Amino acid sequence: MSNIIDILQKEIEGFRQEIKAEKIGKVLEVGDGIAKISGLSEVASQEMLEFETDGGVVNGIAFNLEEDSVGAIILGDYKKIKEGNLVRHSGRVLSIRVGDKMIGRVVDALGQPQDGRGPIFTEKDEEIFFPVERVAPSVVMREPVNTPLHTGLKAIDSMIPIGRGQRELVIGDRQVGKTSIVIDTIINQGKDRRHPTPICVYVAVGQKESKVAKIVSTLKEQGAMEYTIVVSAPSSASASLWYLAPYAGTAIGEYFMHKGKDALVIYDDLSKHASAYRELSLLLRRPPGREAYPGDIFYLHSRLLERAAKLDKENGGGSLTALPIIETQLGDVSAYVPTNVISITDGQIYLEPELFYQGIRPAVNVGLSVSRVGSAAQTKAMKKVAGRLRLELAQFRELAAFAQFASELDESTRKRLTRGQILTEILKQGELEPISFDKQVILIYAGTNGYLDDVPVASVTETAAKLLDYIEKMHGKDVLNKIRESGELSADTEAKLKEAITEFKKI
Amino acid sequence: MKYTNEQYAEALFRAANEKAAAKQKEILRNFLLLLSRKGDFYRLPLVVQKFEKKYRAYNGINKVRVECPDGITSVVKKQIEKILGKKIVWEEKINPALLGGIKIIVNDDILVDATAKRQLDKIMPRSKV
Repeated sequence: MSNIIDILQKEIEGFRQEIKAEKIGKVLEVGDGIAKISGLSEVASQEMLEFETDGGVVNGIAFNLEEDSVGAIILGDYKKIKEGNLVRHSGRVLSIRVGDKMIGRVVDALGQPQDGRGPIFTEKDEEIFFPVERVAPSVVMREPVNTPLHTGLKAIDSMIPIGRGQRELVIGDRQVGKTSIVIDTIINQGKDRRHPTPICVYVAVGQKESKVAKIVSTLKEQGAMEYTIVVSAPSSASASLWYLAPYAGTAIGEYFMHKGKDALVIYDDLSKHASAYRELSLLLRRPPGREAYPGDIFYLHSRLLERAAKLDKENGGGSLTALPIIETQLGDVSAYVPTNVISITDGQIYLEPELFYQGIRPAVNVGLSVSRVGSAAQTKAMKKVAGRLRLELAQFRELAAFAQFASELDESTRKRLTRGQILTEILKQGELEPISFDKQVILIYAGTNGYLDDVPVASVTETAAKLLDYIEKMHGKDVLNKIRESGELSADTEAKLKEAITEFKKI
Repeated sequence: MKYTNEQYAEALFRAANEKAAAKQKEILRNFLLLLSRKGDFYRLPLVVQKFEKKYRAYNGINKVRVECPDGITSVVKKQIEKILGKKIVWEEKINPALLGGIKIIVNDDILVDATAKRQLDKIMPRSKV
């Protein structure tokens, strides 16, 4: 109690009375989360507004600057605003308070805690505000992506490698495992001992609160909430909060990036973000374009994703990696918003429902997926083994149609088909089971070098698990640790690995 | 042809200004019919606002809305008249929630908020909704 009084006393003593004439506006219309205001002649675009209502101050953002009025989106309960209410402009843009104490918390798009654990910051904490909208780092501040961000998923780390500072899109229909991939990626960050653990920000846009609660619970169980922040704009929130959530998440990630740390931001998903922006734009009477989206729908996502970067040493050396998710309808990647985001990002991971139902999970179509950063973001060991993997799978896909005629094919074709089926089995992985890159290297090495060609396809998964277990127990120091520490598969380590696999096969 | 609110207000002002009352009534009726024909009737509130501003600016009148917790005194009124001039249309509201001080809004455009409520809100912002 005395602490509160001390704080209040300081506020009163330090308080400077400021009475000035200010330009104001009056609410003309309000409804559906937006308001039309007359006056406010000196307001700037994206400036924060304050609506004076009987129930307190409601914040908003100036969106449309028209000849006679200002269109604003409301960040709060618009039902408290009445026609005729006064509106002031604040002279500042929307900012979110950030800090290390946000780690492990669930917040909304305005940075307010949503997990029932009380305020995030205390009065003693330094007040650091990052603007929600910010210009992306310039070309001279950046350096090429050169450090891997391991997802822990074999299919991705081997053939579609992601680097720190890259933007990699996860795209697919509903219920094909897009969220599972990103959650496994978050979990794997805590297990990757070779690189510093990035701070993960998971932005949930328009999702069911039960789903977000389940994700938070899963992350807690896996120990991932120790380096994760969840920004949630659930389906019950207004369109303005859906619109702001990805930018708020990026602002939080930028705080860590500018401190020289690595950060990972996941946007789940940007399709809902686009539809929220469309809703706001149509309500504000902006002219609709293709599929009723406003004309600046590309800019909505490009300015968001351009903020992901790998900074050079002069600027701290931090990075912000972005994993946006887009939900397609019936596999249509040529629709408006998906093509926009594909052209912005540095590659995509394409998930197919057909693969999912065939039991290939993660259901990654490696033919259509690409990482434009490529092997620059791979360890040398993985680069060595993954090159052949892509080629063998590509050859397998070409021959897959002939699989039904297996008995009538020549020996080499049958071998390729078998090899392809075995590699496909190796790349399958359970949910919440990310694997470290050193173990991935071993499995892919065994598969591409024919050590599992004599194993029945149905037993490959079990055999691979036993192989890993054997190497971990019997050759943990001379093989696994060597690969993990050096990131390379040297000739010496390779020889020991060959020996270990041969020993295992004899058992 | 599409007209802006400013053009409507300017046209109405020029047509109706300094005309006899009966003529003004007719002009206003014609104006409303014009708006309806053009499908711009929904813009009437903004047009009226602009018209009001023009009328006041032409006649040197200021609209001053004053809110205070108790009645405004003639001393305060004289001080405001000294700054703005004699031609003032007064709107007074008693609002005990302001606690103290005075709130002055000039021409729906400029606000001077010298109320105790505003100062307290600055020291202790209430939970933003």
